[in-house]
Amino acid sequence: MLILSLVEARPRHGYEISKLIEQRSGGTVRFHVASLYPLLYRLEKRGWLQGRWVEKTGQRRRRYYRLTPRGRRVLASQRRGWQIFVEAINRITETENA
Amino acid sequence: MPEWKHEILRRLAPLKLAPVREADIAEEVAQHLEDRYQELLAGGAASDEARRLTMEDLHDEYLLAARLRRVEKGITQELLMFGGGRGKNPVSGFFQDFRFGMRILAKSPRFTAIAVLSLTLGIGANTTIFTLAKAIFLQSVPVKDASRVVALYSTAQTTSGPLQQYLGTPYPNAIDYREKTNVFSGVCIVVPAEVDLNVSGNQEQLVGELVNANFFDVLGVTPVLGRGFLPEEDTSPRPAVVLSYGLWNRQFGGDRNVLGRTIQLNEQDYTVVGVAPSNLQDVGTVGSADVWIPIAMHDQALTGFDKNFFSRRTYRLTEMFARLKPGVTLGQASAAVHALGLELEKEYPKENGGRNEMVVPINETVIPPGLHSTYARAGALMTGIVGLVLLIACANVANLLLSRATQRQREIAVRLALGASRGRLIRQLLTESLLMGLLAGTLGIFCAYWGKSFLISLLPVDLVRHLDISLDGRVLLYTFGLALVATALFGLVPALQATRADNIAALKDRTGTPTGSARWYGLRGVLVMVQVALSLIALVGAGLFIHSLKNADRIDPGFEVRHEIVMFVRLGAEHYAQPQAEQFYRDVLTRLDSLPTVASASIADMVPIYPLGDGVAGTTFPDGVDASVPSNGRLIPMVSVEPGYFSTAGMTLFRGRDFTDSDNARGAMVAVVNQAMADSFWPGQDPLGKHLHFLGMPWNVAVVGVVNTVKFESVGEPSQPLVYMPLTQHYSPAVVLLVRTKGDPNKAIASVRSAVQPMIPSAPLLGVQTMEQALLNSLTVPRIGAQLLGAFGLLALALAAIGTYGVMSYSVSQRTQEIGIRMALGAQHGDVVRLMLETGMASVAAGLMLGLSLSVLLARSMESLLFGIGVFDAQSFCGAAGLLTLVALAACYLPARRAMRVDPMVALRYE
Repeated sequence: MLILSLVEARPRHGYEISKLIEQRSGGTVRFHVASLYPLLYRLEKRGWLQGRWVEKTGQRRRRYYRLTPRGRRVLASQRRGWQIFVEAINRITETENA
Repeated sequence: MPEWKHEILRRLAPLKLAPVREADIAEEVAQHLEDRYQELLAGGAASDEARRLTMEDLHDEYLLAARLRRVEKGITQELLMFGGGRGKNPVSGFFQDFRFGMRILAKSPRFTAIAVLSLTLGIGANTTIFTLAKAIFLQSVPVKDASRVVALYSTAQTTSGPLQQYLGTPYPNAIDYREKTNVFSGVCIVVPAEVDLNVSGNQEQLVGELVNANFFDVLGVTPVLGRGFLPEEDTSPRPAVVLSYGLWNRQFGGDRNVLGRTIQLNEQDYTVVGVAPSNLQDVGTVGSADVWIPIAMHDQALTGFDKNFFSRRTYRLTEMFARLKPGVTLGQASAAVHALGLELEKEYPKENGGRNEMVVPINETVIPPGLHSTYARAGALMTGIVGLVLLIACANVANLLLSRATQRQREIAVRLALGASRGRLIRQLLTESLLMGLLAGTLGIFCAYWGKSFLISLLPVDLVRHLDISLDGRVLLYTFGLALVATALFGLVPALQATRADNIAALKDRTGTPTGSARWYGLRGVLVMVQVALSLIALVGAGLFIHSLKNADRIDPGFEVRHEIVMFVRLGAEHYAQPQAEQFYRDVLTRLDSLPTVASASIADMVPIYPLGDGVAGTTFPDGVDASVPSNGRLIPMVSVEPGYFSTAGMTLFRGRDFTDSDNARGAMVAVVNQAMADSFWPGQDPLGKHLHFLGMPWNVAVVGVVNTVKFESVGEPSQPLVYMPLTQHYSPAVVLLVRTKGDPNKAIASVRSAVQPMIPSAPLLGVQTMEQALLNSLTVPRIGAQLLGAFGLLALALAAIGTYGVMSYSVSQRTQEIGIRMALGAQHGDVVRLMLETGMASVAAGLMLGLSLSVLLARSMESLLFGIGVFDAQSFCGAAGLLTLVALAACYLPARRAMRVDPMVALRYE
């Protein structure tokens, strides 16, 4: 869900994704190379992401990942599920505190 | 710049990816590392430091390759699915479940092994028994379109007593049924006859059948060599013979020139006209013959009673079979035959009173029809017991699943909380169960393969020869169905329980202890109870049979067993006319009496328990009833004996006298009856001096003695009436020699045989054995039953013990805190053990009560299969219950002892 969200707005390459996760989580969540790329390939295999080599002038080519329509649907459903989960957890912890 | 790519390629090497893909990955990851490196350098790190930190990002040596292997080789990982994958393709969902299930099972190999082993034993036992049941109950006779072929039998209704069925049909009646019905496309009459084959001096006794010319046509079977019979061979006696495939190979070496050869049967020349196909055997009521002869040859081929009474309408001689006309149903055929039977009764009231004819599909005659109910009951018993074993196994696995569901409760609760639908979760859990079921089914087939060899080793050799004990498609289908049923049995309730919506409460709990455990434990307690009850039933069943078998050894058969030798001799009429045969009988007795090992010897046409012999049964009437109406009489076996038979057989003469030499053909006709006959015909009266009459016979037979009632056909039978007659008044050319020895009969066998055989060189002595051996042989089936039931009973016990142990262990682990608190508050070890035992044994006790009451019902339905033990056989019941209690105690004690060792401090620290 994290990765899907990050490429929702625009395609990004692997290093960018890992930096963004690290930055936005304030360093709490960090993906190693050994975890990140297998995960990206897996999501690609499932058809949720699509990777493509892009060459920009003056730079070496990079592989950019963008969200597929299918990935978009999965993301939406995962967001819904996550919301329910968070609410559920909240309700539970509230009861516990009351 | 460090060479990242080289480092990455080195790590990817073991994956053996396609070169293009490998290069792609290396390039992308190298790019990432380079970006990181450059960033670190830009941040002011020294080059060495930057390099070290970058490499750290690659993590350990093997992680990248390991993770990539899963992705690239298609080993997908189950991601936590928010929203439960609604709207997904159900088939792909199933495969997803399937893969996940495999992983879950592989993750806890001990659990999987125990569960699958339990199920394998259950399914294997069922498949084994099904293989046997299929061979016995579902076999089809080897003829064309066997379902259209039927057998015809006589029935007889007497004024007192039940309808007798499956009797032979008298020849004149058979002719009427053959010619006056229009529901069959062909009817064939079969008269079984024993014949002696003589091929260039070599003697062999054969099973022959006299048949109509349409025999092969009605069966739809074509001879492999030569022809069947011609219509003209039905009308005039022509000595033609068709050989069985087995005989052709055995006696003629499969020589194709056998056609046209002349062979001698009963010293009469016959021309070989054909050879039957190899599979033409065990044709239900038709049986397996060695030779077939036209029925028109009856005068030449038959001997004794069969020859003399051939055309009597009262002598039930023939077997019949027929092929239904196209479009005619079994019901229509039965109705037509029954209607004709009523007409024949009207036309010949004296001969056919109370008699009719019945039609039975020939496939149902493979088991001797008279034994159907015994076979069915034994089959039901076996199926029932292995069914119990499977149920116990299912209860075991259900228990294991329940306790595992507790461990997985948090996983399930999280999934439910994340919005997985209950149905989806149940499907997931059931898929795991199905996987185990199918695995166990597959292993069960192997188990049955082994069980099959075990069965074959138990069964008598000549029975195995007749049975198709193969693991065919039907067996596979049955096993597959069984695996599905078992899955539903053990998987459904735990799946429903595990996914209850209120389990979400588990999320609150940090220790993993289920809050709803009272109900969960309750269900498990019920499962233990059911297991105990079921295994008690299986054990009682086994106990009853083992005890009954022991009892069978102790049953007094009513005659001497330990010092007897029996042998069968058939003096074909062609070798010995009646006077010579009778002379031989006298000579052989004199000769035997002179042997030092022999105490006495006698002759009868049938002796108890021994399967060989040629006796007949006759419809018998007391004085004072109309002896021309068959329904006034009773079918009673008639045994012809020489004087001195009763003392040689070790029987007791209660009243009157034995036969003497003056009870011969010239003397008045006399009989000795057994006590059962006296009680049945003349209750409360003195039978001496009373007279007996026989259907269709002018005899007036005076009763001169009463002897004790012996067990005649089996040691388990209830007392049955018998009439003994002098052999000199009722000649038989086929008799049993009964020899009473002074010492061990096994040592005397050789001398007896060598004394008798030279006196009748042309007739072989058959079935020479001790009476003890004959008795042992007669108990083969109950012995197999006891062995099988014993094996299954122990299996059931073992499974139930595993189940009880599992539940108790679980209970102890769940109650560790409680036990800790109790011990901290001063409970002693003994108190803890008692507490745990009480919990476990409560379920066991309830199961015992339930099992005992159900066992009584079982014993009642099996009464007829048991020898001389009552419905409530204390020994079996108490033994089974005691054994089960001991095993259950042990199964409860082991976990209880673990509870005793709970350290209060450790237990409480978890809180």
